[in-house]
Amino acid sequence: MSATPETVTDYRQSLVLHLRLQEVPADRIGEIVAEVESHVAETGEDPAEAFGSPRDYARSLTDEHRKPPRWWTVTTLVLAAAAGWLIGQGAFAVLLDEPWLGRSGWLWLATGVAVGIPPAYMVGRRSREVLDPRTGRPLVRTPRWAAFTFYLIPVAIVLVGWLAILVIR
Amino acid sequence: MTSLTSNRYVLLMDDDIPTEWLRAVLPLAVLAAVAEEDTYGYAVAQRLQAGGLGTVKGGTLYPVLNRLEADGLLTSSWREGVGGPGRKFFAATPAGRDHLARRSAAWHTFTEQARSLLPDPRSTR
Repeated sequence: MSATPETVTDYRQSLVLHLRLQEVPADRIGEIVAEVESHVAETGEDPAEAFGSPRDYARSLTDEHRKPPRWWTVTTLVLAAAAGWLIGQGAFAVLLDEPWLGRSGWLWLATGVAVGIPPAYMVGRRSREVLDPRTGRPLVRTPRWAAFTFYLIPVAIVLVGWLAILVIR
Repeated sequence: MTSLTSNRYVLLMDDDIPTEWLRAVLPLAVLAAVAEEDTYGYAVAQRLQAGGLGTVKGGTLYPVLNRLEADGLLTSSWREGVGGPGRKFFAATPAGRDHLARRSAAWHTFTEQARSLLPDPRSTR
């Protein structure tokens, strides 16, 4: 079985995903994927034939990259959830112009942002864009609207809640 | 199992090498190939095949190259291919050459000792 551009692209996307799941740093992902593609470009092999399935190949590299411990992930999630909750409550308090638990909405907003900084940094480090070491360009295209939607969703939830409260009142 | 004949001994080179043996010698063989001249993955695989180690798949070869690099025995850099995608070239570091010399000597001692423990197939019939 020989490689077609589609099988190589599919393999790339799947391999990036599985390396992400193994928490491999972005620059190593770029190297690993470029090695696979450069190799099969020479041999004409199907990537899965030469390297095994993306899942198995990504797993075979786990002794090279240790996953962060589980408590690290749990801490990130708990801090992120707390930050989201505080920012949401703060935003509601500001929009409705009334304190929450006796304190100003701005104070809750600021607390939420402060709590959110460490998890945002940790997530940001894990989700850095994967660059192709051969060209310096992104390996996988992320649509522009993806980041936009990511921030839009929580803002939309708060705004919808605010409007709902105003209507009910 | 068929008996060990001298004819079969010749065939051993390709078909009957257990993967454990390959795994043991592969890092050193890869390091030797790179130490000979700066080269890239596919060329290393071709050298190993020409040397009788059979087809070494990319999924086996690149983790070995990366391990050697992580250990400081190799360095790598991407170079532009001719009209194609780039190739990752590997070069042996001084530590890599030193490691290769010491481990090769140890390997030869080890195989000589192992040899003395095993029956000689040429004398069994």
